[in-house]
Amino acid sequence: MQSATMKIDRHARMRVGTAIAVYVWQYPLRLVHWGLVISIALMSLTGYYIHDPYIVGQTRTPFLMGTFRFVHEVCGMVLLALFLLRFYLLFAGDRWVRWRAMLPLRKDAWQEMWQMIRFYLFLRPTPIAKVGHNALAAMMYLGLYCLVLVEILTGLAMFNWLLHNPVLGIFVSWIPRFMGVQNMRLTHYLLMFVFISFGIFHVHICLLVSRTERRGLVDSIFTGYKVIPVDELEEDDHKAILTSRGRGVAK
Amino acid sequence: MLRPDTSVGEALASRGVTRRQLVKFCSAMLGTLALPDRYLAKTMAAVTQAKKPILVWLQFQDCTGCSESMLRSSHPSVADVVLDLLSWEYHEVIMAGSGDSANKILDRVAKEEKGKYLVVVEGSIPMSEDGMYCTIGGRTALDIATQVCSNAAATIAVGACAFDGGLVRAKPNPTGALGVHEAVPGIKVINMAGCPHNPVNTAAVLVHYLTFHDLPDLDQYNRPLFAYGRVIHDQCERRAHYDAGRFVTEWGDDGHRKGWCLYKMGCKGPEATFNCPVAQWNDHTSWPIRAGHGCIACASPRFWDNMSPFYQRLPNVPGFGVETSATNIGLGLTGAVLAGVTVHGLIQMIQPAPVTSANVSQTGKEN
Repeated sequence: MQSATMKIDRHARMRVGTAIAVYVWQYPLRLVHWGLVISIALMSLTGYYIHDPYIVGQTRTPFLMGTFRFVHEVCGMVLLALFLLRFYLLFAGDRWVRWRAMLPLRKDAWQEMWQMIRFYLFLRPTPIAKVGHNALAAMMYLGLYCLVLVEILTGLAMFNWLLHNPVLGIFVSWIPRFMGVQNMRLTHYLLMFVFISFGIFHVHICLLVSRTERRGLVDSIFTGYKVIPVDELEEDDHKAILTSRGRGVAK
Repeated sequence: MLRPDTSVGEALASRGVTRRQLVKFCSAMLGTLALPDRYLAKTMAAVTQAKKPILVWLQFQDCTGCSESMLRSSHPSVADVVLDLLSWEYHEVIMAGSGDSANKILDRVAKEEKGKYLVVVEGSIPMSEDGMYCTIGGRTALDIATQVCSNAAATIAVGACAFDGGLVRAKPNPTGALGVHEAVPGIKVINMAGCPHNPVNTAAVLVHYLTFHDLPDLDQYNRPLFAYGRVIHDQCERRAHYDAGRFVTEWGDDGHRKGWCLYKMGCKGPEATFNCPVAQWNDHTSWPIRAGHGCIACASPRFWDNMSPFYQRLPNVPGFGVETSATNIGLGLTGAVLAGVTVHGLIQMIQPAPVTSANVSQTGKEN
């Protein structure tokens, strides 16, 4: 029967049982996501100009570098706020965005990562379907946030290089002492390309996984809802209850 | 020759420096130190009445550029006052004595005036091969510096070489050169970084020492904050061109002739901290950026290694060739990822649509 459908439709149909639309990505998380997209895009555009001002001596742009630097710095502050919001969500968010979901803590996490790598290498036909992030995705996002932190700190160090704010200095004045002011700028600039590369990679992977697992993955970052089969959702609920119970016992 | 215990006022009077010139000098020093003019009377009194402190000037691995910078100050009052503020007992370039008698003076100062004299060090101190790369009268630079600096009231390290090794310490640093505060740890030292040091700043430190009997506030590199506390970019006369997006793109182009910003030519003004645009050089005549050349951050730590290439915005990425800029590496990375995901996506598309046994059995279960 399966093969008959396939022949008619060319693409396989997949029965996923009774499914439930689950509100996986809460509003603040989606805010962080789209805020990062917009602020990083704006900062890449303005930041490249600040590195290499390719528009020179235009009389109709009397304050071009000043404006670009202003936009860059405002976006940087937005990025800092989004980072802090995401950090807060690690401890106060829904269970799919909390710190426990982001770290490879489960016993099968490393196995899950390996299975995902096998999927990307075409050694496995389907990805590991999870309600939230799979272990490999969680690791990628954790790494991304670490790089965002490096970008924020080097950016603030450059900001304070001119501002001389003693309170901000407590957090960032060690950076130029540690790596030198030029390497700090180099790091800040090179990370831009890492973020752009990550963006390309991220969109590709999302489309790929969404196409394969068919649960509205791409849609979920707009609406927050993913379509999850009942039995998988029950399993996820069961694990969450076990985790919280385990934590209760430990306390 | 004047006696060493002559007061500065007497010495200046005998040199024909008028009170008016002295007031001008002290005002300039207060301006450099960023002190309000109510300190003028105190500074004047200190400069005229103080007993001249003894100063010895040591030279190690240097080019004498810092001495030249100090002595070639053509403005009569500054040069005369600075030279007469102190009793210069030892300075290899300008002293009359030589050989054994000169060495004896240095020895006598270190022993008899212990804790009372000032020492200026110019040039770096070699540490490799037991310091044999720089010896004076059979003694190594390190030996002389250790004896003279540790007995001094304070050490003033002038120039990039005495600050942190400067040019001599640049890669590959064959002599193992170090700055004074690294070669002789534990001494009271103030670093007048720069290549050369700015004599106005060094004179201001001396005036500060005479007036307040102490060194001014220092930053983490022991450089005085009044001179090294602000970024050149923020004090630059071409800053307006930067904000407006008017840049020199090639040496000698139209923008260069018009005096536009040198940012694209690798000017390190945004990185460097110094009062160069304010104090300026050759009696406030000019300074590098006014002369049309970008800043090379000569007053910054390890500037030969850290701030080069001087004509590029960013340093080369370690591990890549010198011709590979950070932009090329970044664009290469982005292009590789783009190509990678394209190929990956194409392979995925020609793969048959995934119908796994898991899906089928799941379907079966539901049925």
